[in-house]
Amino acid sequence: MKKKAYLIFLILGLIVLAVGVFFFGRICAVKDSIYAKYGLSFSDASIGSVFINDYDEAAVKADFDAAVLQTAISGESTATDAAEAAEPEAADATEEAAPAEEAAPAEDAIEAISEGSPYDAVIGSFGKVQSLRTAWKLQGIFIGAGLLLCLVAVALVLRSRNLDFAAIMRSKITWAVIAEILILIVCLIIRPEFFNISYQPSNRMLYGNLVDIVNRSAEITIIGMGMTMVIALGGTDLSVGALVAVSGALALKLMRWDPTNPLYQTPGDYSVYPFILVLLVPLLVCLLMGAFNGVLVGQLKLQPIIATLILMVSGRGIAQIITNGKQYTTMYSPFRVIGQGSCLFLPTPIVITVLVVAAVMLFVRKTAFGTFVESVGINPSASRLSGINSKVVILIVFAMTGFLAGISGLIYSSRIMSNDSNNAGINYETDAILSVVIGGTSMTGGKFSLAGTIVGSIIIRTIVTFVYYFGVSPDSTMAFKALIIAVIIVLQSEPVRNWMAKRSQARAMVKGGVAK
Amino acid sequence: MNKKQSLLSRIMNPKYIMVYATVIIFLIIYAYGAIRYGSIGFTTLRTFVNFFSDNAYYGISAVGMTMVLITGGIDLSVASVASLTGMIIAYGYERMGISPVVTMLFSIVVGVGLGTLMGAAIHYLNVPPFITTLTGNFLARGICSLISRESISINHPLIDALAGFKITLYHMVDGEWVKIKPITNINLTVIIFIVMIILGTLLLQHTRFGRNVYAIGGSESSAKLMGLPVGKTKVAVYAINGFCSALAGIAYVLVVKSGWNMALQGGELEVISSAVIGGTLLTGGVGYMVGTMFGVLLKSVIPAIINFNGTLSSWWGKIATGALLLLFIVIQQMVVSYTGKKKAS
Repeated sequence: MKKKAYLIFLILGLIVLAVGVFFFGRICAVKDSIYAKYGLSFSDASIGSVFINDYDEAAVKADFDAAVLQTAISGESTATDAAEAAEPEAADATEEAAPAEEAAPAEDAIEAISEGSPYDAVIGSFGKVQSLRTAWKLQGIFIGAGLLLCLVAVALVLRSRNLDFAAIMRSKITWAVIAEILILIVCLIIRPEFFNISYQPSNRMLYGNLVDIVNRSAEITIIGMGMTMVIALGGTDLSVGALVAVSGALALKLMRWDPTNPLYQTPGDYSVYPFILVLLVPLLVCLLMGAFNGVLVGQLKLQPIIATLILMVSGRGIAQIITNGKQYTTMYSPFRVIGQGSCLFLPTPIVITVLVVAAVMLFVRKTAFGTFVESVGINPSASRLSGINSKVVILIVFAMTGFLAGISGLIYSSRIMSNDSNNAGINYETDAILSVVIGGTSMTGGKFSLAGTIVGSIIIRTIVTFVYYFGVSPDSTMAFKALIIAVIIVLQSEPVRNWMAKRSQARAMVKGGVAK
Repeated sequence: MNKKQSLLSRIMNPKYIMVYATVIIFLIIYAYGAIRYGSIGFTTLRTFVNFFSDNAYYGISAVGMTMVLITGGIDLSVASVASLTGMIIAYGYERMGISPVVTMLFSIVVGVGLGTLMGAAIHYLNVPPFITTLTGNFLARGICSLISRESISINHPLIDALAGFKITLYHMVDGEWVKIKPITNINLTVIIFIVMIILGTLLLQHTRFGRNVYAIGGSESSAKLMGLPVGKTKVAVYAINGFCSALAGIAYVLVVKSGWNMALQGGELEVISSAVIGGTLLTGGVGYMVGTMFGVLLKSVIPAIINFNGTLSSWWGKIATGALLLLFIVIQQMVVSYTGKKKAS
């Protein structure tokens, strides 16, 4: 009976999710038709404001018609700030600066306008405004509810498989998933629109808070992969944030450096060096810096916190020396793709994260390396006696973490198209460590869980997005983050879990007694 | 313990070797500065006193941190608690009109309370100190931002009086007391710093509590088996550290006369690295207040040299600090492995 429960939840969740996707599809159809007809993105036109409760229909109509006409005349779409501000996901629109849009077929649009008011045509294609709005609202509720049901199913799978054996690690992940479910339930109750997903035909990308959570957690997830193993070795790596800054500084320096130019600087829209070099050099340097940490910890047997503190302190100084204290900006388009482009309808960072996670998981779990790491983390001298070269294992883990921090640095600097030695990757080390710990890997080392780290980093990002969404200032997000994390950590702590396990055991015994 | 031991052998005890290493390196760097920049005032007493006053707030916090590190723990929340203190004092007076005396006492209560809470979570819930205090760090910083997101300057006679309080140093010239040139002042933050170092030394070296702290750092389970009050001591250490952070916050307010939510960002690592440079082991059991004091002094000598040089950019300071840290822990490692070998043989 208990084993079937998760199946019921899963099927129910998928059905509800499908309904949500259906509404999403209807809205997408409208958007696509607008884009095909007028070359206007949904968020560009004030049509977006129909989703707001009291909107002035006449004004929207006039605005929209004017926007269409202007597009037709100028031959390119115009992104009016006012329209963007009216969009419910204004936060996304401003955060992800939409790339330049392609020119729309002007003649077609002018023709279409001559046929009648475009606004009427759009609304006509969907039915009533009311139904468009209902679809928008229902989409959020259904997608949110579906997602929650699926997550409950996941939690049930984890629980039914492991809590009986009191397998500490797994049940910690269960707690993490439960925490995520609780946060999302609060979102669903307060503002179902939180779950809305929208589609931008102009750059073929999905937008919305859910996408945003995964997208923005990319850097921490990528670093978290390395950090998980560092923590499994019983250490911590504090230098990742500084390495993010170094990687960004190097990439920008290479892109803007031109030895032939009298100013030694390119204007920013092209790079003298091939793009692959711009990517490889920062990654390689970060790999070496990670290896430096590895040598300090492995060969010299320094305490990891202090060994990595060296690069944490001096790394930002190095980043500033690389760029000579300057903050470069660039418009180099291939570089923009890394952080802001779209791939398979998703923001590129998500795709990069999936690839990195897959690569790390294959490397760690399909070879013996993961076991080596766990073994060194549990007992270094015993593993040395059993023939594991712990120095090499430590070196590889730290070098890998450096490399992953380099990837994060590239994503970060591509998002802002600039380098920022003082603020790039600030607090990344603590966020990464928190994700690892929330994900169930113990700070004392030993067994680790990469999947848990992903859950952890998504939880952290969910909290931040959630708090932003309700209009709290970015600085004070920390207080909410701390409160929620404190609750999670207390729930995950050994005494509390033991108590819960005892209680559930007792309950099971009582039930068994009744059955007899 | 053995009173018959000669003074020399007591001084040359290998357990002090790290402190000596710190002092020697401080002297080497100071000598370098004196030779290079002696002519432009590096050797004056005023510069020397400035080494104390530049980082006095870090030093005050480092007193508590040293104790925490000796128990084998870590506290990442000190800088945000200090920042919160500043915020409470500033907001309390400027926006609510409460006297700084009350807010100072209140902020110390807050610091001790937070410290106790974290210590209890660490001991009774078995949460790693790193994670607990990191959460505390976020919490304190977040509360700061909730109170106010902009810097609030404090204009209160008491704060001005405390900040302006100073002892001017005199020396004897021809049987007459005259002010030392350039005029050297010891201000209140330096006095607090030195008093705290002395109190910390007394507490660690000459009380039962101090011995418990070292015992827990050496081996927590052994300490428990010996019947020492492990839980109480650990919670007390974090509470003392909370007190030191709040006091450091007050000292910082006396320096900048304002409260800012992002003040002292990253300061916790400054404090920890000062203690580590001073010979405290992160694994616990080893550490002296005097070493910590020299660790703090070292942290202000390097920027001073960069200042006197005048051509080096400030980011070289970061790299120099990193290099120094590297040098230190390598020496530490060598000493530890050397004494380890000696014990084994």
